[in-house]
Amino acid sequence: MNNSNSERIKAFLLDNIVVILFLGIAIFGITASGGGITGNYTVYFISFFSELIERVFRNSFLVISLMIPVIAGLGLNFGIVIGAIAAQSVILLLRYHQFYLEMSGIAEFLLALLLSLPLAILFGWLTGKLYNKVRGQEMIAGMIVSYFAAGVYNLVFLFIVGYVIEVDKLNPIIAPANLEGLAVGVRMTVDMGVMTGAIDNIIRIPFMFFIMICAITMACYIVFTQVRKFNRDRKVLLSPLCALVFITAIVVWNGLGSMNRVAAVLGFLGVAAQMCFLLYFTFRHKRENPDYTVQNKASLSFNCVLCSGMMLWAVYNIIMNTFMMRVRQAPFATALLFAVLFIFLSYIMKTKLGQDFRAVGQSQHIAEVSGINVKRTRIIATIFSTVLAAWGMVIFLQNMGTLTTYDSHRHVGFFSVAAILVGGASTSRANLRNVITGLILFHAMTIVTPDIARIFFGDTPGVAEYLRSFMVYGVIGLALGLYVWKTLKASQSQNSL
Amino acid sequence: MSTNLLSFKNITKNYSGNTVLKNVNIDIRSGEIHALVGENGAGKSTLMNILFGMPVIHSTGGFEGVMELDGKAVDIKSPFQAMDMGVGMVHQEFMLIPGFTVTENIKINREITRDTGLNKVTKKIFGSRIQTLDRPAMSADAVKALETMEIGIEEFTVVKGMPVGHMQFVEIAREIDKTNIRLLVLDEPTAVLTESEAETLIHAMRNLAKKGISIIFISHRLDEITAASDRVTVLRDGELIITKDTKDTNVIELAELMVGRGVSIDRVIADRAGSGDVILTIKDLHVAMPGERVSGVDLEVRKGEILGIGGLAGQGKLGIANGLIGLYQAKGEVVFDGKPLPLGNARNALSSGIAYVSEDRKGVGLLLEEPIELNIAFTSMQIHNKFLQSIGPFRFYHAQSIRANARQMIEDLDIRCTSALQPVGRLSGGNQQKVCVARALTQKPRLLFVSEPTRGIDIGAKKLILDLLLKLADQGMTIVMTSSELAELRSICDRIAIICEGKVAGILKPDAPAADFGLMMSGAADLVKEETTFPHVIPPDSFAVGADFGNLGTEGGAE
Repeated sequence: MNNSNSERIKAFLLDNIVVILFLGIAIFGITASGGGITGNYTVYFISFFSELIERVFRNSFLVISLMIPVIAGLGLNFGIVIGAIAAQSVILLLRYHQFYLEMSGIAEFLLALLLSLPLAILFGWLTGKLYNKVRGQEMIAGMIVSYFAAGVYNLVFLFIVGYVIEVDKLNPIIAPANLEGLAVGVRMTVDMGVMTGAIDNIIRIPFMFFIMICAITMACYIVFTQVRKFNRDRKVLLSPLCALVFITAIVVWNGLGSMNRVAAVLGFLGVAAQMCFLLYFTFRHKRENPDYTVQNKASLSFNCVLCSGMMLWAVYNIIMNTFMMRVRQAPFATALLFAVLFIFLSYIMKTKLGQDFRAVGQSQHIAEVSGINVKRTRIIATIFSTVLAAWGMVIFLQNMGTLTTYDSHRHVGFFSVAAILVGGASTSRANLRNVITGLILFHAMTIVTPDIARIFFGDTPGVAEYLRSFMVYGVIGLALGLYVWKTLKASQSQNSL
Repeated sequence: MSTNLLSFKNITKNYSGNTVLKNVNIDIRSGEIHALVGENGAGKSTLMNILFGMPVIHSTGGFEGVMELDGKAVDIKSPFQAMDMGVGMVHQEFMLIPGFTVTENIKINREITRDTGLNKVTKKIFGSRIQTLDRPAMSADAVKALETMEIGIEEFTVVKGMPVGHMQFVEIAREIDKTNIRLLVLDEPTAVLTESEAETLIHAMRNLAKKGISIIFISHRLDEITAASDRVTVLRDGELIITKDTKDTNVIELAELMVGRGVSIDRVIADRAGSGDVILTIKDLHVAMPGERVSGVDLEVRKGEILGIGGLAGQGKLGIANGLIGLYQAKGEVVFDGKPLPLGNARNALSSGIAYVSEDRKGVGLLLEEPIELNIAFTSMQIHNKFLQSIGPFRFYHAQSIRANARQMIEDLDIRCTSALQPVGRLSGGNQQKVCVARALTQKPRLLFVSEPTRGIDIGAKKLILDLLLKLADQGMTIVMTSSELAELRSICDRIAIICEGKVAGILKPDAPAADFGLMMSGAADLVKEETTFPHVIPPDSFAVGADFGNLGTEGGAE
């Protein structure tokens, strides 16, 4: 309240220390790499952004699945591995039958989502029950139960398939028969076949167009949230409508032909229109509510600058037709799916259920005495997380193109947790902003680690991989340590004289 | 004002053979403020637990007697049932979620949801939990509840960082907001408030009473009770002493009734002649012990006396010894035996000749799995390097001397055990306490702090412990004894300091009238007659009774 500015800045830095640290490392990696192996920054940036856009959307659902358990006070749900296992089981089943059915890629993808839903709900319900029995130890319990589930999964697909359940020896996903003519277990790697890129490749748009669309969406989001906070003016609905028109126009334009300059103008107008909305509403409500413009001034202006910057960057690159236009095209359909999930989760957090998640997360005791069914709420949170993780795994695998049967699920938990922590979340606090920041920053980090490894260790083979896992576990350790330290400090200041 | 909203009829409650409530009859009229007064353990909280159907009551065999609401017998099995019947409670410790706004806290689990647009669809599919919150309507309700109390709290502030007084009002607003609320229980609501906030609260209570809501007001501040309540009930040791109209009584009478006149004081010795030298001086001591916060104690201890420290639970009497020994963060000026004693360092305090018998016998006092002899010798080994023998660079404990010391102590203190090797966890409470004292004595202290020495001990053992303390004092040891049981303080202490709200309210003679003890405990020390008190700080030339009463009475008030 009456903190001085320097104290406020100190608190801000302390709150965002992990984000700042990793931003620093990423920037250091990019500058020190000297343009990667080729030594050419043009080539380096093209590959950097191509990789980044793929990785961000590949992992988006997995990382976002961690958010609700954190809000509901369960901590970081290492148990999302179980969701991934549910998805892999369904995919293996589908791959086995695809050999005979020959569905289209998208149909198989949707069927995988549909079939993994009940399985993930069941697994999530069981995990949630377990979490209720080990209150306070959810994270370690989640980790251990993941190992257990992976063991059961291995047992089923290494042994029971083929030995107990009779399978077709000639099916490509079944391991080749041994000398006694027995075909037992699923192969180490399974090709995703038609499912590869089933959703990623529906619509792809140039990276810079995608940035432009992001700018428009973000501007629209700013207008919408800012205005809704104070006034339920129906006119505010014009803003998303307008954004939708511009985005559709850009996508359609891209599909039709190559007149990129028109798209650039469209994007510019899209963002400009949103900013006009913002000004209009600000001035209108300034008269009604003198506090209106003061609220969250810093974060509002930061967001405005960020989206204008993105828009200008995109417009410049499109009109000048720079090397950035050679970056791999962005998977627009996956992005759209992610946006839908984003809106859905924002909506959930605004409902009674979302309020209960928050209440339970902050104090189980108070929630309990207020009559909230704490156990049930926690189970629902775990189910949400497990289902999203299962779908996330389907999306992950369709992007990868191959399923490493006994390995794909293993790192899902740690990598996703590291990503959300890099975004500034902690075991007790996470929001959608943390998810997005984390996705971008963490994957930027994983891309530049080989370069950092090369600077320090030369071209030693395999060292990049070690550095990468060092980074993942380091982030988790650092974030958890910082969290414990902060809680300790808070309790000390509460009990001091 | 005459109809009874709630009647307790012949309420009796036993906890495993221990009667905590005996035949209690209380009527709460509608629209009245009914105060409930009593010492710790008088049965106030048990009565409230019965009213709210707390699980602790039903898991221990229920209670005898009848509760009637509107003249009809009711059987309340859970707090939620009580809530449904319009009975609300404001807890002593806040039931507020710090990260939520005032509105969110007031409407917790009673949020208003929208029933239009998309919500109509989602409700049909997923039920009412997936409906968005109607925040403007919630805010309007919160504002209404806050306005009833005429308190200017903004409904969109986050609770974290609010003044404690405001949190109290938010708690009350949450209860008022429940549409059917008819009876509100306020448990020590003014304990955390400043004087002006307390006045606002009393004003708000009157407003509520006018609207027909009955209030049960539990407080230890007797002056507030006389100011706020319509009728007052005094409980003592589980028995109903009296229910009176507040206008027919006064603070002094209430204090006397609360503490009880009939306490027999079996003092063995009339007066012990201490040397008069001051052995310990405490100036402006603050201790951050949760729940027993000390905020500015000035006290002097004379060589050879037994100084009693009394007061109600939560007022800070236990914090003094804990802070001096260094178990909690403390600040202040302490001089022991002419040398300043640095705070926050247990090793230092112990090695300077202070011994401490903790009120937390099983947690702090004893190593329950270890044998008696080791428990007795443990602190001396650590602090004074006794019972040790060195062989080369290693130090081993010296079994014979430990055994001999333990045998001596077992004999001296009459510890009932099978052998010195018996684990202390297997002993009875009284004998465990004796082991604690034995360990303190083994340190050969010049000053002994004993906290709650008779807690959880049967009557026979209590007598033994108290006799033991008397014997030690006769041998010249200085003892500071902290206890919740006034009777035992009065039976063996030379002076009794009463702690109220973290400060010394006053120091009384053990034979001072009961009412004076009651008044001091209730923050009304200014009404105590001067001839029964000692000054806080002993005047330099003499410590004769009545020599200096400088700042008495001003200390007891709220901060």
